[in-house]
Amino acid sequence: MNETQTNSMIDALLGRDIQTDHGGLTLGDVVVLLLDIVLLIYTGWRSYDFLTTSVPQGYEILALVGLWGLDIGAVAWSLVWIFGSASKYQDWVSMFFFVFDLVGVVLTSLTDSLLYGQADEVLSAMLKDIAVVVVPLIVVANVVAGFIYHLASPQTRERRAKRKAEHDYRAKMMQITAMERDLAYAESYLLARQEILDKSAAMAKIKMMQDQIERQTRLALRDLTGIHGLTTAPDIQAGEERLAELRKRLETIQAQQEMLVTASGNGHTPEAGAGGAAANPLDHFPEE
Amino acid sequence: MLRAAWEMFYTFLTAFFKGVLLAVLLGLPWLIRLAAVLLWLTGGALAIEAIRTIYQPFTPPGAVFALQFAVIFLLVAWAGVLLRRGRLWGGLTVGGLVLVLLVRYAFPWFLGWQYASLVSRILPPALFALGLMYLTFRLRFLHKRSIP
Repeated sequence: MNETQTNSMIDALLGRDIQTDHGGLTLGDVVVLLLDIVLLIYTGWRSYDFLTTSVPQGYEILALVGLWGLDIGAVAWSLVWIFGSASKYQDWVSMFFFVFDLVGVVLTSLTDSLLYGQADEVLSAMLKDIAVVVVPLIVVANVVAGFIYHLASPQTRERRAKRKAEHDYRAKMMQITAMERDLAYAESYLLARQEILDKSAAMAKIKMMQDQIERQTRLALRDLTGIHGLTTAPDIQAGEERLAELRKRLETIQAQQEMLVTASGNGHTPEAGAGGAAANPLDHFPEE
Repeated sequence: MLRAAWEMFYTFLTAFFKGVLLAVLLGLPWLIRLAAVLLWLTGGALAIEAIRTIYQPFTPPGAVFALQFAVIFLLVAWAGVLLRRGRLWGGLTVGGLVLVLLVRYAFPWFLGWQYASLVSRILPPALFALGLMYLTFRLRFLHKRSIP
């Protein structure tokens, strides 16, 4: 087996013949990666062992949950910093919690190892006191960091900006809708008022016409002598004609009176003597 | 008759030992390679035993196995690096020799050191942290470089 064949075999084993977007991993990178995976088992075991001492009996599953804030958290924040973070704040959060979790991992591993066997009592007690407070804080801080990371995401900020713009748009559109509604009500009111005004105007006109007819009727009833018609003549000649007509009527009235007197003396009623024409004196006057 | 038999036997012995010598000479490279592998395995076994000696008193068995597996993995990785560079046998010899010397001479000195316990307790998580930091920065660099 020559060197070229050996190298191609190792390349195939390392997956270097597969094109990725992460550049190339060297053999050293792969060795460190695999060594870290093995050491992760050790530190994870240690962290779990320590966490089980800090939870009540029967709740050891909580210790596994706590691992997500220590060993698994460190790896997760590392991956997030490498591939995920897209903004300055996300970079800060992921890098800070990567280091923070690693400190937690070292602390729990060291403390757990000191709890076994013959160790320095003072150091063990001190580290245990520190770890009992710090480790839950680290775990809880990881949860908070997850939220902060999410909030600092450009996509989240974009969605928030979009949601805010949509909210503003909806508020403005609601204003427009309210204005349209108010305008529709105002239009409806104005149309209804216009209709009433039209009716009122028509009624007023009818009333005026009725008043005029009534006035004319009353005038006609009062003006049996035709005085009003005389006074309203347009010129002198018309006035003279009306005057002549008036005299003629006076003569007619006098004649009628004489007939009435005569008839009353003969026992005849005026209606019978007038042939019915005197029953409605208005019939003798022309309509104006 | 006896003399003739002796001469024949002598010839046979000569041919036999020459054959053995030739076989040894021909197989010597492979014998040396076998020795290198044995030395490498011995060094690994001593390192695994040293890990057990150090960590067993204050470590659960599973975690000790993980550390021993880390040593095995490093031994295999060392062989892989040597294979890649084409210096397998010499590398195995040197590696095995260094491990044997370390375990034989440096390890007892380390156990007698004042801070040996603290260092051995902090070493695995510290190595893990360093390795993870290296990988994080390295992969970030590769990832950034790959983005056009």
